[in-house]
Amino acid sequence: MSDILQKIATKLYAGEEEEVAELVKSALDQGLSPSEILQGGLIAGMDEVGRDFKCGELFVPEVLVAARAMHAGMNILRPLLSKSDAQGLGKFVIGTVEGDLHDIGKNLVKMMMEGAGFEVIDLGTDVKPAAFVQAVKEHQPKLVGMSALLTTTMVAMRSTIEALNEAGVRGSVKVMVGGAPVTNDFAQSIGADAYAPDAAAAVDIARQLIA
Amino acid sequence: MKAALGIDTGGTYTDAVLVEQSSGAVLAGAKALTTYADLSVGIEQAVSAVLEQQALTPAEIELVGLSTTLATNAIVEERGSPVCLLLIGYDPLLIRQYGFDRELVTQDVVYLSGGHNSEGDEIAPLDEAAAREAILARRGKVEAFAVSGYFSVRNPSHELRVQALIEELCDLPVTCGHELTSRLNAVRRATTAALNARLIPLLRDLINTVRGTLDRLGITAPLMLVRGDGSLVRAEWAMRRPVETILSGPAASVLGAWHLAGRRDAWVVDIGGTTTDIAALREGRPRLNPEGAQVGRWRTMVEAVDVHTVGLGGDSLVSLDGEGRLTVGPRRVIPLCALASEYPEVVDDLRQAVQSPHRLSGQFAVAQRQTASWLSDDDRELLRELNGRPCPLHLLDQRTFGVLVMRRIEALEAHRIVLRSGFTPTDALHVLGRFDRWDAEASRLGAVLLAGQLGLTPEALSEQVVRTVSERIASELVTKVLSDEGAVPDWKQDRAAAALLDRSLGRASASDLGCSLTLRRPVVAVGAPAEVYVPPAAHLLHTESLVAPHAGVANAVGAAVGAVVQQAQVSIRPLEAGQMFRLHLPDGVRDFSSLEEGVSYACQVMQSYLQTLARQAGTDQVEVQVIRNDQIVPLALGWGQDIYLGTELIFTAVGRPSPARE
Repeated sequence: MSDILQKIATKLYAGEEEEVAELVKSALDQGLSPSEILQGGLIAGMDEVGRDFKCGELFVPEVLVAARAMHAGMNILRPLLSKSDAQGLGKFVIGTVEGDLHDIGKNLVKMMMEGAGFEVIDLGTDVKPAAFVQAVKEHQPKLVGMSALLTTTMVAMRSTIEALNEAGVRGSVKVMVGGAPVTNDFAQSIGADAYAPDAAAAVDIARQLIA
Repeated sequence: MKAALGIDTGGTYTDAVLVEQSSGAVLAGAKALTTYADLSVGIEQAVSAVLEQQALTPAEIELVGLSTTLATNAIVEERGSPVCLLLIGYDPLLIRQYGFDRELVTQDVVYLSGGHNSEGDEIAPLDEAAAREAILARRGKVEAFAVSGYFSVRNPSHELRVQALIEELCDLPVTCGHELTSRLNAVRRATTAALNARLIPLLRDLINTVRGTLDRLGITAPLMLVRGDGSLVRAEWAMRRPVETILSGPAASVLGAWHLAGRRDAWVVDIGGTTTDIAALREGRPRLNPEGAQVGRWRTMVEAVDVHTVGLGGDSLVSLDGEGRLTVGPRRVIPLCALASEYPEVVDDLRQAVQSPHRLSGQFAVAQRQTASWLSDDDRELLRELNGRPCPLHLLDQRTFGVLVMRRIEALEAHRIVLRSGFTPTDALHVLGRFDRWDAEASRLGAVLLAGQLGLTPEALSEQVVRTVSERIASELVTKVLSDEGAVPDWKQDRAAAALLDRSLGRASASDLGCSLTLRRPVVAVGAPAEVYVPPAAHLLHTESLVAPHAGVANAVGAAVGAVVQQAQVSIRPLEAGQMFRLHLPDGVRDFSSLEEGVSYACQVMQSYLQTLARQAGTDQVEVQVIRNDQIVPLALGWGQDIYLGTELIFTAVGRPSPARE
């Protein structure tokens, strides 16, 4: 991997927002293509972040800070990327379910998924099943992710999957669920395709689901 | 003596049997050719034949069970009458975007506001005025209505109101989505409801004609039809829900296999003239496909027998493929021996062909009808040449019909105006002396023509044909079992898998590696040629084979011995964080403050609901059983006990069909 891309990845890992932005500009000046920089610098760096987060060497604050650096780099590249590069691995619609306002976990997943090269459409919190269906219709994503942090709102995940089924579009997407009270058993009982215990796992599972 | 008359109209033959009620013994069986254009003709022939066999007075027949391919054929061939589909609460933009409008069966689709959500709450009021307008505009223009509402299976009230409107404003039949299934997927429900509506006039005609035939023969017993799950329903019921009779033939054959072979758990292989059907018999009933039956290009939601159909049968055309390998089917033809029995000159044609063989030698074209309104002039001329007698294909080739003559013949074949004749497994059996119903000389000459191209004797070729059929059956059984278990084989792409399969079928004797596959359940064989082909197939899979007695008419037996089985489902779901429990009943929703209160209410109400349903379907003595399924899932560690997701109550009523006629 080229020298400058290696530096971008390292600085991203360390959460050095401004340096990442500078290095991305330099790389462009050097004649590297935006998608090369995205893959070899930014995504490569976030991959390391994800790996170390999964095995407990990095913690949430460090991940957030690295994600911020990622964003800084992305903001420069985004207008230069072709449509297909921007979409990258595919579209991912995410939201916290109806009646639930928690969003930290969801936001973390969003950042990790963007870092991995997905185009993320964030529906926010308290998202009704019908709104998920509308988003699938409008964006035609490959993946849908749902987050819930209350035992009382978890059931809304099932209502959403049922709404997708009833609309006839369930087969066109893969559905992932997560959130502190959620378990793999629960995910299976409600007909989800996968359960992700944390944001880094979400990325790995997402990659597997669309393979 | 009390007997049941069973009738089955298959792709090739229509069978009739008489089964004694008390002992279950088969008293008589007969076959007639299926008269495709008007099924009742073949039915009358088969029934008359079976009545002649057994000295039974028509008054002793207590029940008539009919399994018919009418629904399946009509759907595959896109036949049926004009219907209007009323959709409540659907999103027309989404439907168009995903191409779902092609799944709606009819072009006449009306989108009405209304609909519910997954909890069964109304998301928009039903636009009754628009419904009224749409219905009135179609009086006299359609023959039936289909109504499907968004989440109607959680709350059918909008569908029921539209149904009431239709009944008020005109006298046409109406099908509602929630009556046909309790599963989600509004598009597929609409497909199923529309298909049902389209079939109503067709089945009504058949039933009326068959009823007329039975009356003429002095049979006054009630007429019941076999559904795709193997159960029986009164004719009046089938007239309202004809789509439930799809795949009744394969379902009847599984039931027949159970009744005749006495095994409750087995694989059933039914070999007919055109196709071989493979299905599982479990606990005395055909195993159903919970995803809904696929018929033609339509994905329905009818839970019918899970059958794997292969284009391989006793009358399949045997030919050589591009690489000189022997292939059997999928095309079905008239066996050479059968053709020669009717047209002896065929034998001379074959002798001439043996003297100077040609690529197309050994095949004939036979015109079934002389004309049809849509034929081109060239087609008409072609038919005139065929002139009601079999014409050797290679002669056609040489005449002045141009290079596309074979293409034209195939098009006429597709519409059943022309039938082809050629060498079939039935001919192979004649050559080997194992079957002698028709002209064996024609078979032998046909074998000579094929064998010559492979350097074999006619007998060796015939043996190979028989072996090929058995091997195909064994490999299709393997394909079915693996597919059911989640490992769908792709024999063309996966070379290692194909190599292992070949070794297990004994096709690679020179290999250092042998392979042995074992089917862990016995195989019950039904269908006329079953005893020839299935035992060797079972042997290849190291399992027991049972050839059912009366194997040739097992479908008709299944039609005579079925039971009335009706099912209904009630789901209970928690609302408001477990403070309330909502019951989703067949006629609406009802809330309770305690789960057990809801469950006992459901049991109470559904008992009488199912008694009524079963009586309408045709039985008086019912036993209603309940299966309760509570869905409780553990939460993550530290989050408390468990989460209650809901309860499913499945009510099943089973009863013997009532003999008394209303």
